[in-house]
Amino acid sequence: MASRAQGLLDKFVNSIGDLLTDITALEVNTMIVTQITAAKFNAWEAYQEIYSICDSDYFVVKRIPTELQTRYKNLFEGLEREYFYILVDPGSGLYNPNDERIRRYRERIELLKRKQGQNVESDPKYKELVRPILPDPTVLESTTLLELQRLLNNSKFLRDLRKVLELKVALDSSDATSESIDIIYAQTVMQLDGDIITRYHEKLFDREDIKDLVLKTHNEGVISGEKQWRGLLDFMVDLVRSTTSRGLFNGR
Amino acid sequence: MNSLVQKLFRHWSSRKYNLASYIKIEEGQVFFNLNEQALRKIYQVRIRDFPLHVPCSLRLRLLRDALLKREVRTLNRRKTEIHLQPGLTFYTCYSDEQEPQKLDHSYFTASMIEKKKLLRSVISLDGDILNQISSSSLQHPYFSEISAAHHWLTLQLLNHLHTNLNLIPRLIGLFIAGVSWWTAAQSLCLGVSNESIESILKAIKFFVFPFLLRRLWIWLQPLVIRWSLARILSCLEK
Repeated sequence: MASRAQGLLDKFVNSIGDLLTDITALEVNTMIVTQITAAKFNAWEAYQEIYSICDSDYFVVKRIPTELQTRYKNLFEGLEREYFYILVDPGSGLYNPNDERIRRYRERIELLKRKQGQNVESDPKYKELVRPILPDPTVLESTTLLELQRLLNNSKFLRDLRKVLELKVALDSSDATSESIDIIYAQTVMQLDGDIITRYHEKLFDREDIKDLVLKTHNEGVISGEKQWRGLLDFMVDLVRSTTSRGLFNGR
Repeated sequence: MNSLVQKLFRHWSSRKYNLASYIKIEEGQVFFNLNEQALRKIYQVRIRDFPLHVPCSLRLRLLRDALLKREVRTLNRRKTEIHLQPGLTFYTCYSDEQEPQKLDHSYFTASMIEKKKLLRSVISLDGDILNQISSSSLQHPYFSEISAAHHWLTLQLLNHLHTNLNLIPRLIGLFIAGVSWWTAAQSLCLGVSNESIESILKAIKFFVFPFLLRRLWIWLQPLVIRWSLARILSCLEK
C-alpha cells in the first residue's frame, strides 16, 4: 500500500518535472471554428484517430479535399516528431538509443533535405523510410500494446497528442466550400526572457466585419493567459521547493 | 493588515452574486452557462475587482475532477489509475432564456451539453492556450461581454486551483509555528514566577525550543508533504 502510494507520488512529481521544461514559453492561439463540440479527451481514441491519417486510403474514405490533405499529413508528422524526441530523450522513460526507428527517422529527414523540391514519393528508398515510427495501434501484439500504454502515460506526449487532436477536429469540422476554413487567426508567444511574438493570419485583415472583435478577444485571452501562466509558474516553483529535502539547519 | 481586511471584504462581497451557480465542472471540462443576468453580475464583480467566490464543494470538484483523471485499464486486468489531466477545457454557453427564481443543480440538465457553445478555451497543463470562437457567435450582440466574462471566469478558477494547492504546506507550517510559540509562551509565564536559575532555563527554552521546532519542521516538511500527497493520490485512486 505504502509503496503503491509512493509510486503514485513519484509519477505525479515526474509529470510536474516534465512540465518545467515546457512552461518556459506561453503560446496563445485564437481561431474561429464552424462549430464547437464538448467531446471529452480520450488518449487511446485520439491516438487511433491521428494514426489512421497514415493509412493509404484515409483521404479517399474520409473524402477529404486535396487542399486540406497536406495539413492532415503535417499533423501526423508533428506527432511522429514528438515521438522521435521522446525516443532519443534519456529522461523520458522510453529512451532506446538502439531502436532501428531512430535510424530510419533520421535517414528519412536527411533524404528529404537532400531531395528538397524533388518528387521523392516514387523513390523506393523513401518508401522504406517513410513507414511510421509510431507504434501501430491495430497490431494486437503484447510488446506493441505495452509500448503504447507507456507512451500514452507519458505526460509530454499526452499534451502534444491533445494539441494535435484539437487541430484535427478543427480541420474535420471545417467547411471546405466556404471562403475561410478553420484556421488560427492570431498567435502570441511569450517567453520567460521577456520576448513576445505575435503573428496574425493575413486572412484576418480581409474580414473587416470581425477583425476588431477577434483582435479584442485574442488580447483578452493573452492577458488572462499571461496571468494564469505566472500563477502556474509560482505554483510549480513552490511545489518543487516544498517537496525537495533540505538539511536540518539549512535556512529557506 | 489593511490589505488582508480588504481582501476578506472583497471575498465576502463577491458571495452575494452567487456566480458559482453558473459553473459546472466535469472531468477535465468546465462549463460556464451564462445568460443576460449572469453577464450583468459578472460585470459588477469585475469592475469592483472582486474575486470569484468559489464555495468549498466547487473547490473540491475543481481539484478532483478538473486536475486528475481516472482511467480504467482493461488491457491486462481492470485497474483504476489516476493521472494528471493533460489540461482543462473551458466552455461558455449562452442562453437568451430567463433564469429560474432559484438557481440550483437542476438548472444544468443534460440538455446543456447540446446547448450552443460560443467559446472554448483548451488550456494545456504547460500553460499553452487554444481559444476557439464559433463563427456564428461573432454576430451575437453581447459577444464582447461574453468573451470578457469567459476569460475572467477561466482566470479566476485557475487562480483558485493554484492557490488551493499552495495552501496545504502553508497551513501545516502555520500550525507547527503556532504550537511552538504557544509552548514557548507557557514556559515564559512559568519562568517569571520561579527561582532565577529556573527562570534562565525557561528563558532559554523560550528561544531555543521554538527555533529547534521550526528547524525540525523545515527538515520534515518535504517528507510530510510527499507522504500526504501520496496518501491523497492513493485515496483518489479507489
